[in-house]
Amino acid sequence: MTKEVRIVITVPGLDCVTCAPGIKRALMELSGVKKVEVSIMLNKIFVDYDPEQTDTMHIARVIEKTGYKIHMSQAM
Amino acid sequence: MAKDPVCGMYVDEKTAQLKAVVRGTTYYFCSEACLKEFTAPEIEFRKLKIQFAVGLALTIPTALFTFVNILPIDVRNYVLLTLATPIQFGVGWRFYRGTYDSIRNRMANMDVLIALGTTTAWLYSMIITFFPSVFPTREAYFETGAIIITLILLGKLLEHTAKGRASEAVRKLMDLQPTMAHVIREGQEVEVPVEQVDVDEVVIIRPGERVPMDGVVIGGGSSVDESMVTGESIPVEKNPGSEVIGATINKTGMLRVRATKVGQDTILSQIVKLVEEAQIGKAPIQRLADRIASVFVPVIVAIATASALLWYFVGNIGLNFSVLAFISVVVIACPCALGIATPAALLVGTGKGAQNGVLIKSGEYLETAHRVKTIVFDKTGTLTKGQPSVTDIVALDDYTEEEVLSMAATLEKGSEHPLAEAINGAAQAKGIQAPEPKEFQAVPGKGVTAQLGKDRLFFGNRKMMADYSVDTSPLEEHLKALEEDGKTVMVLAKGSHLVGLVAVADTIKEHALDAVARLRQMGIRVVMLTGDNERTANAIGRRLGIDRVIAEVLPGQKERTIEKLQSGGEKVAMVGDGINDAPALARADVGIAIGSGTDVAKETGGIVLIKEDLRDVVTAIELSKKTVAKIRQNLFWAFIYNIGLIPIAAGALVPIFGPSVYNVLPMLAAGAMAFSSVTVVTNSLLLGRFKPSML
Repeated sequence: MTKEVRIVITVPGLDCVTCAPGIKRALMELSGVKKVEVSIMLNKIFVDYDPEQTDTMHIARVIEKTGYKIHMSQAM
Repeated sequence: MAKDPVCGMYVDEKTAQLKAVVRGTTYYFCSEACLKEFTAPEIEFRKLKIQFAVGLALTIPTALFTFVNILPIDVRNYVLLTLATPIQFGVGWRFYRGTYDSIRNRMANMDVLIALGTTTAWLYSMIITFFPSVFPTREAYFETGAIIITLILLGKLLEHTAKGRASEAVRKLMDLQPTMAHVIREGQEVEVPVEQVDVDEVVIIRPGERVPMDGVVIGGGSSVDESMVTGESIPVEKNPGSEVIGATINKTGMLRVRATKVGQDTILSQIVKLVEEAQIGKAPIQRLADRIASVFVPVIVAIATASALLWYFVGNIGLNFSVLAFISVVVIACPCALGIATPAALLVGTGKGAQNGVLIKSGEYLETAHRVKTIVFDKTGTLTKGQPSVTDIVALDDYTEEEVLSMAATLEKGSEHPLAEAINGAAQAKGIQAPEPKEFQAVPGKGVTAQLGKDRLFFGNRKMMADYSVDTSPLEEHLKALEEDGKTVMVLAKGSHLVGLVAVADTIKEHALDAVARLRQMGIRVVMLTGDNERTANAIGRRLGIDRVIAEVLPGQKERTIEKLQSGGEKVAMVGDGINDAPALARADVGIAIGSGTDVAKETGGIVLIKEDLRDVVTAIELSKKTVAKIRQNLFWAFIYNIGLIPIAAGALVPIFGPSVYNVLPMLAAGAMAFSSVTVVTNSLLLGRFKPSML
């Protein structure tokens, strides 16, 4: 059974609902990412991924490429 | 010692150089990097405020010079240009940045719309200024872009503040966590960070201090204020054996506590995690809103273009007004309110629930709970306290009551049933040493049997007696009377002879009667599920005012019973033990696990009630109804703002007021858009005033 880890990343400035589908799509394209949920109210992104296929660095980079500045240790 | 909120390192407040005050609390940092990272959102917010202030400062004169005829015509546009351009590209830079990111990632977001709308206005105005012969009319619209940008920023500011208030309940929960604990190590009391306390270590908690982690009291006594975690307003007595919850406040006594749960396993951590995760489960309403939001932008651009073209070629209102029509539609169309309608109400609702010890696991359970027409209560341990005691013993012939009790105790020695506890407890209290049984056998739903000396003993209900051909008629009258009284009666027989009976009763929980009455008042049918015999069950059912009693249900049959109740198509909720009743709770449309206590995360069920209090069931249903009502209100407003106003932006008012309505429509559109999400979030905050009707 593949292992699955959940990481919660705080993304300040995640304001509008129109931005969510784009981030979701970008993250889902990363191999190893199983599920992505975005909470605009909490400014947090929940990513379920397989730690053997990808890691928090890659995930963070994908998010930053969509235009949001995040800081790594803000990930829980 | 203070804890760096970013990296978790401990910093000595007295010598710390790096600190920052955020929302009234002082935080300390180990390094510049951590300080910068923590204050980043605050810095973002401050930038937003400055940009808005600059925008406002430049927009006021822009609007003034536009609407009031102070300046001579030839100079006018140049002055306006000088004021508006910094707004467009300085203050408004974030929209160009957003557009670039958006296109690069093949998204289409709100920034694209705003950039499109305001740039159109600015470009058109620039052409009017420098190439006046290109367009038929002379008016420039520099104020349009400026006012739109400034209004949008104002909306963002207000939204940010409102969002902060909405997530306050959750943040307060997280801030409850204490940092230090007094541990006993090698006979000495040491003050250490809470993370360094291991399970089974002993901590000392003095009066006025917060309990550092979940544990069990091993010495001392006190009362503890648990309201911040369970919602229980009255302080709870704690004595050796009592469980304590991390982050609660110890009042007047001293406590020695053995740690049972630390770190992420504490109730507080579990609650925070649950509330956060509740925000992402998708209720059907939200899925619909999200889908609309994702197709919105391209559809809007299409409608905007279509309107503009129609007005120009068919309506003949002139190029300038057609362009303004395009801008108006593009600007009004951010689906912000729509996207936030459900999440905002959900956040405030679940946060409120958590404050009352009612944990709702996701929006879909809220929605289902709101529609529940039938609630099933398990009897033992849910409607009753689960601590039965012996109330009557009847002995036949020459047997004494003690002998009956002793035999009963022998038979129940091997049993883990709560009834067994009652009997063994009663025997112990009387100093009876019951002998061990031989060849013990439990018959589910009927009773137990064992060998004592030469005799085969049977102890159970009528069904068991019937199975073993024991005639219960000598005791029938007693049996009936006791059962009518709501007691559970077990008959004792030796061989095929009746010996006596033992009656056991469980105390009904304090608020059971009121809770059932209130639920029925709300139009919900209340059903009781129990393994008890019909007569006993009905007696208790009558006492509580229950609509329907389903008795003699074997433990493995509870799930089937729920299924049958669901066969009518109605939504059925079940209230029971989150661990023992798990299959039935999972089968119900909403499983409500009551009295979770410390193991919040392990409980099956869409709603978890931390306290044993039955009034929380009513609170859970009421809160669900109020939250769903709030979601609907939000969606109503969102629809009006985001969809209802599109026809107006597209020109529905032109037949009435003429095309000059477009002189102000773009700005009004921006205003509506900017305030749409603020309205929705603020409306959601009103949910924070919810008070359970039964407390």
